[in-house]
Amino acid sequence: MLTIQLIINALAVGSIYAVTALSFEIAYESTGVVNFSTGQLVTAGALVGASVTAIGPHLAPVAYLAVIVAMAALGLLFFVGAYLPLRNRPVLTVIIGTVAVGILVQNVSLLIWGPLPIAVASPVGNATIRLAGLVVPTHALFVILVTMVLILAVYFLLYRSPLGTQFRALAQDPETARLIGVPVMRLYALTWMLACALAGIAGLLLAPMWFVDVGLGDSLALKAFAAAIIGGFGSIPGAIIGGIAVGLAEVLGASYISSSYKDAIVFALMILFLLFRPQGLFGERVADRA
Amino acid sequence: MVEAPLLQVDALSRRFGGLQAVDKVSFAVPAGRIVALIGPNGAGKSTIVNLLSGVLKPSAGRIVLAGRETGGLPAHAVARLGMVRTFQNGRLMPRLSVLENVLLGADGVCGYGFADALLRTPRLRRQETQLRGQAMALLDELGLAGDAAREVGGMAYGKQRKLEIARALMQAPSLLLLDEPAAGLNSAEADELGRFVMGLRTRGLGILLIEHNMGVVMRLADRIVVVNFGVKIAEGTPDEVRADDAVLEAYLGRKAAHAAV
Repeated sequence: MLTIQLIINALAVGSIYAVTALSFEIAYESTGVVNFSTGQLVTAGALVGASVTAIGPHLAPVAYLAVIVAMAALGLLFFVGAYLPLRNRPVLTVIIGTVAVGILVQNVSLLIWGPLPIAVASPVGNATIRLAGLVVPTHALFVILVTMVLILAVYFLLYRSPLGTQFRALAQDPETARLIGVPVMRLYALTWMLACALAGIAGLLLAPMWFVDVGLGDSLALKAFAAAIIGGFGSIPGAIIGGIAVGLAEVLGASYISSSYKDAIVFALMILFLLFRPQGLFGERVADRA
Repeated sequence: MVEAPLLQVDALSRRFGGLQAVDKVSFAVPAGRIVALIGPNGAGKSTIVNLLSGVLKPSAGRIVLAGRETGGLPAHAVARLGMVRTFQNGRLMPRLSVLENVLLGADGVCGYGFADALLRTPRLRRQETQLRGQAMALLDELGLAGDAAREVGGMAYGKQRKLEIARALMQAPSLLLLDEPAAGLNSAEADELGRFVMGLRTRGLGILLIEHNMGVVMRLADRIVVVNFGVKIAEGTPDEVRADDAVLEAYLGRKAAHAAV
């Protein structure tokens, strides 16, 4: 029984890693840029959500919509302010640009929200429900549900819509995509909006589990990075499975091995993958990428 | 002057630093006609195609498509106005399916927004169904319908060339730029492609054909424009061009040309 309870918690935490890793992947697939500001974007999302829920706890559901809108707007700003000016530079320059964006976002967050941790209510409250002898936090179930909805939405967007075909074409060969009339710049803008919105939602999902402060997303982004590597960088299903795997390793490792080594367990797993299966679980062969 | 041709190219020039790659080249492509652009390697054919399709900006001269100046517009804008190209070295998306590759052509020209795509509005669904039907019809015509769901990556080269034309046609062109469509095809495949291109001509498309395979050019072209060293050296019907001294000289060299005459 305890194991099942732990697994549900692990799935909830893993879901948050999966959503964050999804944010990584979408930016990486379409632009080739590893977004090092993901952690700070997660924090920004959590803080925006915290401000909305602070008005009144009944606004918690509205907070999700507000975070999507605010983070998409921030994504557009990211595109115009950082990606657009740097996009013709070597990709390393753009990556360092994302580090700068991260620092900027973190410090602006600090100016607006201050250094004190904020408690954020979940739209489903912080109750637990009993299910066949299991005690499960409602928020954990909510997190899993929201993640499934997000994954389905991303799946339909990428694999079942014309826009998705364009996205995947852009990921494979941006030059050809441009030449055959795919609106490349618009897709890059949408990419950053989507990546930021996903990161923001991950932050808001995490917020009721932890207290929110400006460092909230930093460690989360590292775990999501590990998830992306374990799942296979450049693979959307990999991000999801990788996220869940990291959640399981962390929660089960903490209860059965040692809670002080839970981070070490995750990163040891990542290092094992880098050593013995660098393409991850679902990674593509390097030759497939033009 | 009867009526303005579909595509009118006037004194088109392009300079790369000190090199005059294309020098005051003029020609026209009427609707429902196939005009071939030929010339030895390095004559400037590819530069001309790149200028027409918006990959390069002209240094001077005019490109007018159906009354609209397109010179200097970006590639996607040129495609939207109806001048669509295929690529010499086959630019398909290897990890998308055949059908997706063809639909990608249409995506560039049809108008739906991000919100449509996310919410799957009825408008988008209707458009999608219609475009899929159109794409399947095209694939059927090219004998590729059976491969619609396959990934392009492992397909035979001949099929990939045809697929590229299908994609270009999905962009609803009025003028098609075919950049060496028969390159790498065997003669049976080249014949089949030729018949298909002739079929497009009867639909009223204007076609500018860049091709090395002289058999294909002589059979298909209504008119041939010959360039060498960036300059137009001859223009006429296939028979006229075949008999032209300057053309023989460009292709065979001065001595051989004299010997042939």
